[in-house]
Amino acid sequence: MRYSIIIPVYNKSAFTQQCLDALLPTLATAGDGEVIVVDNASSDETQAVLARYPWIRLISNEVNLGFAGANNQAAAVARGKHLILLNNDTKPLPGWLDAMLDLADSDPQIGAIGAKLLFPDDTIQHGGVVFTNALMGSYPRGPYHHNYLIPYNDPESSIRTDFQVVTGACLLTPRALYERLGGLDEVFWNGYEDVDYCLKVGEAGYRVVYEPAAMLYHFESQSGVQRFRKVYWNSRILGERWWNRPRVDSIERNLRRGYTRRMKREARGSCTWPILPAPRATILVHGGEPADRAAFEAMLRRTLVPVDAIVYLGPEWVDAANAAIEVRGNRVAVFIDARVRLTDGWLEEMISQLDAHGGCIAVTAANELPLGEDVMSFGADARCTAVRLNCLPQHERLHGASTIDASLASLLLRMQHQFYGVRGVSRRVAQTPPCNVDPAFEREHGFALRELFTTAPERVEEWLRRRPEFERGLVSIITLSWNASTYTKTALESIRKYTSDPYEVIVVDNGSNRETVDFLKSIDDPHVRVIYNSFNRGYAGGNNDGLAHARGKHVVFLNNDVIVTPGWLDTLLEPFSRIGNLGVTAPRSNRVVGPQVVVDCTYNDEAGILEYAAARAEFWKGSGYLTERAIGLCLCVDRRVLDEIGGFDERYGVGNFEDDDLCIRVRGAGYKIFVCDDAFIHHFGSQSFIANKVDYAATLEANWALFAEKWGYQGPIDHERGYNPIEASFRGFDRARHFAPIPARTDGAAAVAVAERGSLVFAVRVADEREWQEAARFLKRYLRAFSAGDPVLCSIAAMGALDAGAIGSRVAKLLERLEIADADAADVEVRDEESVEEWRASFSDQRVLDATTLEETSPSALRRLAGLGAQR
Amino acid sequence: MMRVHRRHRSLWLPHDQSRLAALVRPTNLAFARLEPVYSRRFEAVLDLVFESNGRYAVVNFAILDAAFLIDEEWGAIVWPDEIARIVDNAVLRELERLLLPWLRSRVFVRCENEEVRKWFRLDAAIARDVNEALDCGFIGATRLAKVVVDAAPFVYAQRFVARGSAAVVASSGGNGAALLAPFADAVEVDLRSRERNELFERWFSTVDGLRPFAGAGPYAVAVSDLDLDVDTPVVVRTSRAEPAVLDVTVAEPVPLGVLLSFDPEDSAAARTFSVESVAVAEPARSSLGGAAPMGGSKGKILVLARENWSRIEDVDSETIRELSRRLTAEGFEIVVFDPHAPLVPDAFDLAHAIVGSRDLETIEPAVEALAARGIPIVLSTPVDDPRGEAAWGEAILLNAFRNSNELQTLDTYLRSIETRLLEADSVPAAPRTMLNPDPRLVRLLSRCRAVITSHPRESEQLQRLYGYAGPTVSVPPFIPLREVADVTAIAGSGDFILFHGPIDPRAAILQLVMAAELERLPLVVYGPVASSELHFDLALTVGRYTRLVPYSVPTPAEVEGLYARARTYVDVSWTGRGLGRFIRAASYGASLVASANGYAADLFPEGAFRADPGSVPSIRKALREAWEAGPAVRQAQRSRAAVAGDQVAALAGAVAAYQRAAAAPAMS
Repeated sequence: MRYSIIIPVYNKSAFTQQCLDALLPTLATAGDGEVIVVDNASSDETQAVLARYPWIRLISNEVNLGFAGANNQAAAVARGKHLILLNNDTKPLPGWLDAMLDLADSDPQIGAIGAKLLFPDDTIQHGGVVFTNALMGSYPRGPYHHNYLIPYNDPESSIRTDFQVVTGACLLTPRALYERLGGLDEVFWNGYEDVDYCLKVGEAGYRVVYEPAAMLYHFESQSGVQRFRKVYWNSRILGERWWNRPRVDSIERNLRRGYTRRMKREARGSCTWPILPAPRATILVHGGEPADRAAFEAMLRRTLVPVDAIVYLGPEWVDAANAAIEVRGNRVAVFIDARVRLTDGWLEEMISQLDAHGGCIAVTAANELPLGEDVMSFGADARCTAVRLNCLPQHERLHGASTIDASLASLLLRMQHQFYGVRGVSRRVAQTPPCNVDPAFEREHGFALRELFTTAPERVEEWLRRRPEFERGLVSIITLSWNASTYTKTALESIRKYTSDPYEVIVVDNGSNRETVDFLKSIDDPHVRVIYNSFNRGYAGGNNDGLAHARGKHVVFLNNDVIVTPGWLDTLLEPFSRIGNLGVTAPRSNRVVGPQVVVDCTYNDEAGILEYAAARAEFWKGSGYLTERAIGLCLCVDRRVLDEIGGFDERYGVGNFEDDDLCIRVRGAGYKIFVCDDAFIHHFGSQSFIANKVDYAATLEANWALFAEKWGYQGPIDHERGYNPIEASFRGFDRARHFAPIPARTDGAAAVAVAERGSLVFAVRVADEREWQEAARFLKRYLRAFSAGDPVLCSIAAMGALDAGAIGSRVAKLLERLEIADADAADVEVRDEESVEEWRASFSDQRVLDATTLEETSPSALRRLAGLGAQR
Repeated sequence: MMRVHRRHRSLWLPHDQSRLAALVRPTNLAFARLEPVYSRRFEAVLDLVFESNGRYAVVNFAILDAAFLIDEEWGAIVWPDEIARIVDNAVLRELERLLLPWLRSRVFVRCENEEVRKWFRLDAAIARDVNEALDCGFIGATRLAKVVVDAAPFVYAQRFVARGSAAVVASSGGNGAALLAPFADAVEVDLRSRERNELFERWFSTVDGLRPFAGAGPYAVAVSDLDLDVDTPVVVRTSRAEPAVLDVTVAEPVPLGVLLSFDPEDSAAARTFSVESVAVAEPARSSLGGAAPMGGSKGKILVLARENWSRIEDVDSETIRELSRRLTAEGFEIVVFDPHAPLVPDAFDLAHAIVGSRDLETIEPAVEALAARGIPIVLSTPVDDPRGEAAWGEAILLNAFRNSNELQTLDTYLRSIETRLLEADSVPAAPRTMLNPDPRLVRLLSRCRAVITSHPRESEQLQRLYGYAGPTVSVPPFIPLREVADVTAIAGSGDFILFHGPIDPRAAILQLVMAAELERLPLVVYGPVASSELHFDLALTVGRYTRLVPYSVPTPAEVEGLYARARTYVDVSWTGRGLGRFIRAASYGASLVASANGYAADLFPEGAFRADPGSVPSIRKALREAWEAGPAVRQAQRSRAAVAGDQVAALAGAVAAYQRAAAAPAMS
């Protein structure tokens, strides 16, 4: 007899019926065979269903023997040359059996054959089993279905291939071999017995082959919850029995398709291993020119990892290397000494190690390290080290040092303070030259480069204990004002009450009405400075104006229609002390898009808000989640990040998507974003939009178009699913294309300077209409503050589109409107200037005061500045 | 607030608060042990040993959530909540600062698969003591799997020792004695070696209730390996209704979620031990009498039920069995519907549908066929969810579990459930009033000629919500009488609160378990596992006061034994069903806690307390009140149950309904 098909069943009679109905027509061309169904004590109508199929051999058990037990039981009475283990939740497709049997008969060295199993939507459920070195619990090998969920007609999945394991859902094996190997091991309960069996087949010297011509639908794991009852037990047995003997083959197979399966930290501590685009490599060669450059490059390129560039570093290696790693994203930088000798699969092995361990920024193949699964190094030099660039924050670069080895070693040590470790390769993929000696490095760190390769964890512990403490500095809170002054007033009041020093508040008024401007002028708070724009510069422009004047170590962009709560700022700053590479924090709120929203807000008034926030702060202390995107309602940003990536992109105008854009740049530049569960601010919600009648939907659509074009997204905005920000951040932040300039303070619209020259001179620059509005705003206060005879001068420098004549006539009109006679007015001069530099140079012999100090200064304060008494 | 957990509380050491707080100081930290464990997350168990003047405090079963060592979204160390309550949070934070660089260097950097030991103080005397503690298998120095297997008989014995004394005379009984301590008045200990006893006293110096073995007795529990071979299992001697010897298997500890299991299905057997019992307790007697046969009836009745009524035991199953038994005794011929067999409507004189609202569709074709042939149909009410919250509660609870891995997160969800603030994809958002009557039920009612309800308010619901205008008969629930078995092995020897029913999110068991744990009231949850997902998570939630007893096939006498022993019976399910079970419990004198969604509490004005199924505080309050009311209302409960559960009236009511159906025209 040619074959025996064994189908264990336990309930789910509808699936059994479907399987048997589909099976019968496929048997016609397969020759002599039998179908044995083992009913594992089903309690549903399975027996009645099976009674309708007289052509099966039925074994009825009184107890559930499990998958292995049932198959072994049937194998003992089977008569076929080949056994085919088949799940009852499959639906065979025509030709499946012929394909498997023909292959089995073609080569006696084949010990197991698996089929291509499909989900009902025609994606692949099983296309062979691959092993990763992602830890399966605490075991070093994890089996996964290959080509999982890709379309069934994918070309690579249609190639007959040898694997280490195929699934037992449909598995052909010679009966003689099955008996010789003792069948499926019944110590497993409905899981991993097939993996164990195939590994035994391989160990016995037989091939395990995936046959894509044999296709079946598989309605996976329909046998009920019992299927997973012993999942831990099964994996433990598998792990302990096979440990690291299965070969890691997922990296190679996935790389052929341009993907890797990598450990990905999801929010709140969970880890997944999704299939993601493979990282691209830039190889940095140093230590001289290889004797045979072509052969050397060929050696480097003998890898499945896409190599973007091979860069030879000369004497100016610092700049060249930094330029090569400037764009982070989904890339690795591989530092290679020109004397290194590599073996095939060298880079695959390194990528494999990096992908398996989210806590590692680099993997090194230094000869000094032992080999093994868990070899961690104190550090690494540049002889043969791959660095994952999306873990490297943009402000971290190679510093000038005597050698590139020392420079990279220092960089990786700094990164260890951000909790990223260095791993050694598990197998020898490179012969590296001896470790260099670098006295400068030794002097700086107190140990030699070769000591980087100690695997003693005590060394790492000691280094981690040297991590610098986080120190809070000045925080600049930037908030925009655009009419709706009641909200601004409420927000400022709550900031004043609930914010701990040191901080400054920069209010940027985006061309509000008179009422709002009057309110802003009336603010008497030393923390607050106001910048007036004559028209609405939008969310991005306004915040950038504020940013230009911000002096803080951290900058908080805060909506003006909020109420902050006690401790809010400290809570937003706290994560910077404990999360490596953190760029942005954000609070939770009652009204905000996405997961930042809190749904159970039960307060009715401000007292309730405070009580609620205090309870949250206590309950969620220290909790939060990492995310790809935080909402611009309130963002606390490390100033270094803004210096690297720029401010908001002003092309987004009035609002929408500029915060998304910023977050993508933050992530693309290697920084993290964290939402603090314990920080809560109340948000009234889009009050500026409401107060100013902005068409929110139209703004959204228009800005999506801009955003999509910038970051490479296709199609219209998807209001339900949104977009996947990882796609963009994987491309990395490219300063040349993505940097959003922050307006320089001296060139800004409100370019007002103060100089002392016996008397006080206020120097104002006007280059365009907008700057004239700013200047006029100041001039009004100046003319109200001072009168003729006061020892002051307002010197207006005309440049650009407006000349001195034009400005002079506007000044005259202004005096007229203010009803101040020329004779009574304080001195004003208008002069043409060629450039800012020349104009400022004219004050070079005087002490130039901080220009921004005037922008929000009231007339009485101006008089005080001039050393004069009360206002006239 | 520190991160805290309540996992496997039966393995926590019971510390004296002041002694522990005095010893647990960063400067006293002497030794730490980190052991990776198999878990759904990447986790490890962390034991800390503190020393001062030769006395030790062992803080065991802290959990390291290793992912947070890299990105510290929250504290990486999750403390047992009792430790967080006893030890000042500032001290714990200081300890975390001390531990984190070490943990980072060992776990996230090195990906250890093995136990890691760390000396924080290099002191020869401490090193000697720790190593000796390891030889003794003491918690804090010993690997978790060994601790669990060694301590299993003692954890098993925890249920028997309530308010009595215990004796432990066993060389490896140190941990077990300490783990028994919180359940007993005192535990007398002899580890069969002077040196061991001395170290035991110093090692567990913060544990309360331990005394040297005096042999005075009597002991509620005695665990001994005296007179036994080394390889022979420990024997637990305890009290039961009848003398017996029971061999208990301890499964090899596998994942952190299960860890200690006495179910050999979970993994290979790690060991066995024997439980010997003595003494007899008189079981309670139900006040429900057996129904006297009325006799002389005729007719062939088809009972329409959900497909799996005989496999998943619930109130319908009980009703079907008891009704069938009693009708058969009266001379009726009863056939329970088989959806896979051909239905011949004309073969029956009448059909009686007994189904819950989730299963209406399964009987629909049969109902249509019977109605088409003019066969009278009687329906036992499926109006089992008067507030329309059951589906919502079920979906929300499972979602809450899926999204919670911290007590705090779960607590937030529970508070939101209490105020009905949450939504789930699969169910409508609050408010969930039944504005739109279930069309399946409307259809079914239109085919019925009479409806049997278990409470007059159900009849009103049918009229108000479904516009049903046909005859209704309010009939007491059918309650089978069974033998009463001893249930000490299941429920221990003390009083307890019983929940009996499917382990199903609709039963609000999570809230119930949390309420009982917070009130420190002994709860026995006994029922088939209808949701294995919930069961798995419940297994992580239950603590010292709850016994989760899932069964696949109930033993009727065992079920009855539990009712007979229960001081309080509770069922706060979202559906508010199961009136018969309340009556049965009351017939033994139990006080009751019932869902505010149902009618059970109406029947027992003195001894029944209502609780909101979504509110842990509400359930806590009701449990406490019912527990305290228990003895006082016992007699009144029995009397009321005898009336409410009159089985003669039940049978007469059912037959009356049949008569009215036979006489009534079809509704449409």
